Amino acid sequence: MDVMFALTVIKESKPKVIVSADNIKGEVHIRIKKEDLLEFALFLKTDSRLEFDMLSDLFAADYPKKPERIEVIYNFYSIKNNFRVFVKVNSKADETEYPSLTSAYNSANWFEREVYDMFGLKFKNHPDLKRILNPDDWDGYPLLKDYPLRKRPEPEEIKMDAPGYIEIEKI
Amino acid sequence: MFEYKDFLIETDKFALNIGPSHPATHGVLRVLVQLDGEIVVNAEPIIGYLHTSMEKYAEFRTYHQAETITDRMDYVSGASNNLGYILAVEKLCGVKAPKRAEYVRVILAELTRISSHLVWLATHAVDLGALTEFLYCFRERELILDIIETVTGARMTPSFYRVGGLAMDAHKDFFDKTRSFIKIFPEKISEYEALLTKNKIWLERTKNLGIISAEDAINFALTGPSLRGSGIKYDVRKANPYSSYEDFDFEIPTGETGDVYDRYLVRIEEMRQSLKIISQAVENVPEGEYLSYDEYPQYVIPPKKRALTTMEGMISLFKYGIEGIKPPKGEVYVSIENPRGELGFYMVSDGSAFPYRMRVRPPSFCNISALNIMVKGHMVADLIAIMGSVDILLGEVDR
Repeated sequence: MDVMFALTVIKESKPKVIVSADNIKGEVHIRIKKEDLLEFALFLKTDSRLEFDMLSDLFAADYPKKPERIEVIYNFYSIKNNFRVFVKVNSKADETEYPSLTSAYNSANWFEREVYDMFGLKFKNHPDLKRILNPDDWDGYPLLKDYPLRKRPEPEEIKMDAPGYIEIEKI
Repeated sequence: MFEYKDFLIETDKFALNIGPSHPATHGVLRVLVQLDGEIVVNAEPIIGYLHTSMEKYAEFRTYHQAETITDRMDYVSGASNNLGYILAVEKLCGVKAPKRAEYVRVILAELTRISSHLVWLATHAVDLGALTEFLYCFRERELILDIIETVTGARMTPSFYRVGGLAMDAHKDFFDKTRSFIKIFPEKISEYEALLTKNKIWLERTKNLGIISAEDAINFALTGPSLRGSGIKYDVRKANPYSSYEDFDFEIPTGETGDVYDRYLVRIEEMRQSLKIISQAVENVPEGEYLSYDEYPQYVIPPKKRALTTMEGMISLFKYGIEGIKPPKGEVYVSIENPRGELGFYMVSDGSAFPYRMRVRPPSFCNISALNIMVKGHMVADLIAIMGSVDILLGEVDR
């Protein structure tokens, strides 16, 4: 079956949710609103004609010149039907809260942590949202376009009252 | 009289750190394990110790320069990673490589698959105490690296592909060496199997261990041998053939229970199937151009001979060297079957000579995220076996 069949099914079942749907070089890209994301993902997973059982990838891209700056892209794949769709959700830079898909797909757990780590987006109802690749105390979000390539963290000032700090001379 | 329960000692749960620098973690993986005596209650993989921000670096390289990043990501299967990247750039430009180049790419990718599986088998066997296996596997891996070096000039990080073909033509020596490798390798696989497949100790250490069901495997987005071990017949080479894989006749091995032993069997059989693909490709490799410069002079570098003998060839070679190629605006996704699973590249181009965004869909990253449900309830020594059977490579997990 062709992936265009999947697009027709999605268009028929959820006409109000879809903002736009394109076919770019044989790949289906669907743009939806952030509020509908979790419901739409559950529909993709459970619909018997589609069965998108794998969240193959989840990542973001930064477009500083656009009004809705951050674009999160969800890559859904159906092993049984060999369909792949890309669901895109845009948001303004100050609206950084997204619904988490961890309740539907376990793979979303680490992917969402990575997006949080690299772009600073927060995922609501995520079980354990913390940095994954960068150290926990890292400053800034490296994959944003305004983050410089060779940025180094400032050398930390030594805090005399920090826990575990002992002056050797006084021992 | 004492009863058995009087001898039991009450234990508290405690936390144990394995890694980040521990030989059994195959890199710098750290696993925070919660133990009850010797039983694993919870295991949390903590990654990021090898993070080098390759996705960010790619945004500051031209398309051909960024290729060199991709083989350093998964340094055991460099030629495979290059293939995924270059196919993504080709799709972005709308370029198709000539048949000869595609066949040579397939040969290199499959040789890499065998060499990667050999490294996995060697280290996995050492983890479980079989040192002889290690020496056997590295003996044949050396032959493969020699073949790859013959044609690409590098052993681990070839960066041999160019948009629309290869850096240079594959010569007779390469095909001869590959043919002699095909002749000797089947009996070597039997040699590996003779040591392990029916070995009582190996069976005790790997059977019914680290089971992951098919539903869980899909839900965690596992791909590659880890998914096929659970009985799902999903292979990108069959599902969405790329680079002329539809021309070759091969099978996809699958397991039944999804335990460590099944993943071992799947990888062993995959080596045989890879060999089958290589022998078909070597025999049927067509003559002709190795770069599709004539069809797409806009994006493809000229072959070396033309660059050195004709004026326009010289000019365009300099142009691509200095300016880089500029694909049209757009976004594409290409995935290939890496030795570890589905390796995807999502490329966004804004029309300039640098990729606007390169997203790598890392197979090992997803595979290791399912570690916790595989190890729950097993012993610490089995944790090492399970971790090895997933076959992760930290360079790619952390990128």
